[in-house]
Amino acid sequence: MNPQALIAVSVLISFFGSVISLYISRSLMRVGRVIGDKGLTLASIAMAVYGLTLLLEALVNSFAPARLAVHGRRPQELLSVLVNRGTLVAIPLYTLSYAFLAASHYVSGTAVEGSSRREREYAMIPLFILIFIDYNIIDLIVLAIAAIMVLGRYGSARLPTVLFYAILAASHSLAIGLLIASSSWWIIPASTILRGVAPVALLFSSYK
Amino acid sequence: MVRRKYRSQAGIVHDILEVLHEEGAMPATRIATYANLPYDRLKIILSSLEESGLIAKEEGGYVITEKGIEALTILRKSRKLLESLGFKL
Repeated sequence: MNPQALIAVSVLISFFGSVISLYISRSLMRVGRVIGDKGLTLASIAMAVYGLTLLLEALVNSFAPARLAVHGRRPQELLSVLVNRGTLVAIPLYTLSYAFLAASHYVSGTAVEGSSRREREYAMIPLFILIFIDYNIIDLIVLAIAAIMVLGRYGSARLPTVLFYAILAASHSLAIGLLIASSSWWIIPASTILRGVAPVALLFSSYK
Repeated sequence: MVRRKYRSQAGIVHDILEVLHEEGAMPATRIATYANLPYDRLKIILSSLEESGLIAKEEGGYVITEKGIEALTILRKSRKLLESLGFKL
C-alpha cells in the first residue's frame, strides 16, 4: 500500500467532512438561537469543534507525505509515528466534541412525565476524565455516553443516528488497534477517513 | 422502576408553534393537550416563547407571531437533520 496516496485520500476526505460538519453546526446554531434551545447550541458547538478538529488533523497529517519522502525507507513503527502526529493533536478535541454532544442531548431532553433536575449534574463528568488515559478509549466511552443519552432520553434512535455513532466508534476502535499492531501505519489514515465520512453520512441521510 | 419519557425542546416548540399556526388562538390548557405536555412544564415553555417573541398572548389565548412563523419554517426545514443527530421531535 502506498502511504502517500492513502494519506492524501484521508486528508481530502477530512477536508470534505470538515466543511459538512461546519455547515451542520451553522444550521444547529441557527435553530437553537431562534427557539432558545440551549441543547441545540451545545450540539452546534460539538459539530463546530468536530469540524475544526478534522481540519486541524488533516492539515497536520498533510505534511506526513513530505516527512515520509525525506526519510525514505523506515521501519513500519516509525511510519506510524510520523503519520500519527495530526491525530495525536486532534484526539483530545474529538473527546471534547463528543462530550458536548452528550451534554446537548442531556440539556435538550425535556421530561414530559416525572421530573429530574438532579441528573443534570452528571452531564459534565466526561469533561473531568479527559486527561487520565488513552484518548481513543476515552473517546469510545464518551461516544457510548452520548449514544446512551440519546436512547435514555428518547427510547429509540433512527438509522442515521446509529450510522453516525457506529462510524465514529469504528474510527476510534481502529486507532486503539494501533496499540496492538504498531507496524500497521495505515490504521491512522483509515481511522481519519472514517471520521471524515461520519458527518457526510449524517447529512446525506438527512436530505434523501 | 418507572421510566421517564423525554422529548427534545425543539420538538416541543415545533408542536406548539405548529398547532397555533394551524388552529389559531388557543388557551394554554388546549395547547397542553395538543403538545402532550403537563400543564406546569408547558407554562414555563410558553413564557419563554412569549419572551422570545415567537408567540403572543391575546384575548382568545396564545397566538403565533410573524417571528414564530419564521421559526416554524426553520424548524420544519431542520427536522430531518435534528432527527439524524438523535433529537426526538
